[in-house]
Amino acid sequence: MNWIAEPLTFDFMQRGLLAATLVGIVCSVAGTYVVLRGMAFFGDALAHAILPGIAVGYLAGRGSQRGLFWWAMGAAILSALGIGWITQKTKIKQDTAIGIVFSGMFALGIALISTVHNYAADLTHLLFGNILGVSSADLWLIFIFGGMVLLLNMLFYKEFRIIAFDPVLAKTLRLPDRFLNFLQLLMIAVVIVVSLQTVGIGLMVAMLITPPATAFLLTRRLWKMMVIAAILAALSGLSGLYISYFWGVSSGASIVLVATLMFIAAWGLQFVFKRN
Amino acid sequence: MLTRRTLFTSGRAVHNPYAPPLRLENVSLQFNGKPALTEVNLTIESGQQVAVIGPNGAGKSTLFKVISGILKPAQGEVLIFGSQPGKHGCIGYVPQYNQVDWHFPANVFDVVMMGRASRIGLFRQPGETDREIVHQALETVGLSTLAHQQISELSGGQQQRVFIARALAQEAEIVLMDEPLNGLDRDSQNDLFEIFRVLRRKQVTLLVALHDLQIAAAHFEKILLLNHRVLGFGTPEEILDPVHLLKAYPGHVHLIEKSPGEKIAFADSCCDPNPEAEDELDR
Repeated sequence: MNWIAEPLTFDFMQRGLLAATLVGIVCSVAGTYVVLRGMAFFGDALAHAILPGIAVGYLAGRGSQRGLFWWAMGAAILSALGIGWITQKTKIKQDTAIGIVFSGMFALGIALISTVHNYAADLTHLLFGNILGVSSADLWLIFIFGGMVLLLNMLFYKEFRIIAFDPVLAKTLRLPDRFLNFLQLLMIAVVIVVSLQTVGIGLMVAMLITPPATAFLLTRRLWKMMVIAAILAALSGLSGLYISYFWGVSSGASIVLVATLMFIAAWGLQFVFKRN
Repeated sequence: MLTRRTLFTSGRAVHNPYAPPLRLENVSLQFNGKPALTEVNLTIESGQQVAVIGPNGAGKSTLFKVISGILKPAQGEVLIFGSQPGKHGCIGYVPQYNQVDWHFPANVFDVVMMGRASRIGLFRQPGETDREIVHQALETVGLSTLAHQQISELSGGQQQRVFIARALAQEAEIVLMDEPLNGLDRDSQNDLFEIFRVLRRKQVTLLVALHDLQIAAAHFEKILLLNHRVLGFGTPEEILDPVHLLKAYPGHVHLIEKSPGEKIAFADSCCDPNPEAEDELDR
């Protein structure tokens, strides 16, 4: 079993593996609602729309990592509000509004970053992740904010289940539905921001939706869907990183590929069971 | 003191026992300048079961949304037990079949338990009482043995009953049902009418949007004819007369004079999925 222990001799691998596991768990729980509410495009867009926030934070902090989190959150909230605002105030449909806001924000981010010298390297890390560059401070960030997301999810479990299944019931029961919707958007934004370093902007949406979608095929209870998704995502993170270590494949890509293979396997499994 | 309850549910509206469960006073509402409801006046007594009849786009769904407080009327007032609907948790609704995500990961028990959410309160878990109430609601609609089925595995009639059980678990005193008979076979429809009789005994006020006049006449004590305006409200005998029907379905109802004093009204129900539903009323 030397091959399991070998990568663990490196600090950066330990941190990377821990980050991949934590991110997998947190993304799955928030992503379960993204899948059930049909918000995949919104999740993808939010990941892209964060870029100008990171760019401004990076330029303002003169390359320091500090404060990047808050700049990214700011950009995410601004984009989410912008999408809601366009949908409400114009006759434009929501998916178009999402497309406009996210590509505009993304372009702004690229424009800002292109003013920096080592433009290509920085952008590659942002787009495709840099899980081996995860610092202890980053890990703490994932731990604290990810933990908050899990806690909120437990506290509002029965309410979130209702707004996902039947928004009209939420209204007739007089639940604070606007607050709950906003809280859920905020939680998705937090998850995306803390997870960005593992798989990057380009593949972020896969972390949100692929493990929950796999779990959706395997179970018929909401809490089980979250638990199964979290386990599958953590496994994808771990095995993806090992594959990346031994075969020299991009870490973000191999994590997502493992998650995708799991989805295909679950689909096949369902197909076999349905025929019997 | 600001308790958790007052903070998040801002208190439950108090019922005036002398006020009717539902009263609409001069309610009007427009969508994009087009009238959806116009000067609707209506009083429904406790435990009454009312069929709401009207052509597609007559404002039936809008009426339900106004009653449940999801939409606010532009003019006029909705009174639930004497006060505005906004804070009442006593209005249950049963959604149309195609508005439900049947593959949502929830079983029958889960869906019925959702009706308890605001009674349980924020940050609390369902207790023994809540589980007991859910089981009673399932018993009432005859689904006790199916509590752990996934909702997509049920028949159409059973699926309707899940949502009635949810309204019962909510302890709803007014239940709104939007086209519950769509796609149900005769047996399932009869099961549903059996449950309506149980609701009657429980003094639950029931409003059911329908498009089949014959069924409305056979199973409901009151019929509300709606086409943006209230065209008639009364017992089936009062409502099922050709003059009322012509107003409700202009172009769809044809009057034929069979012999002096005897008219036949034909209702054209071209878009009805049920071919037996043609209304032929001999008067």
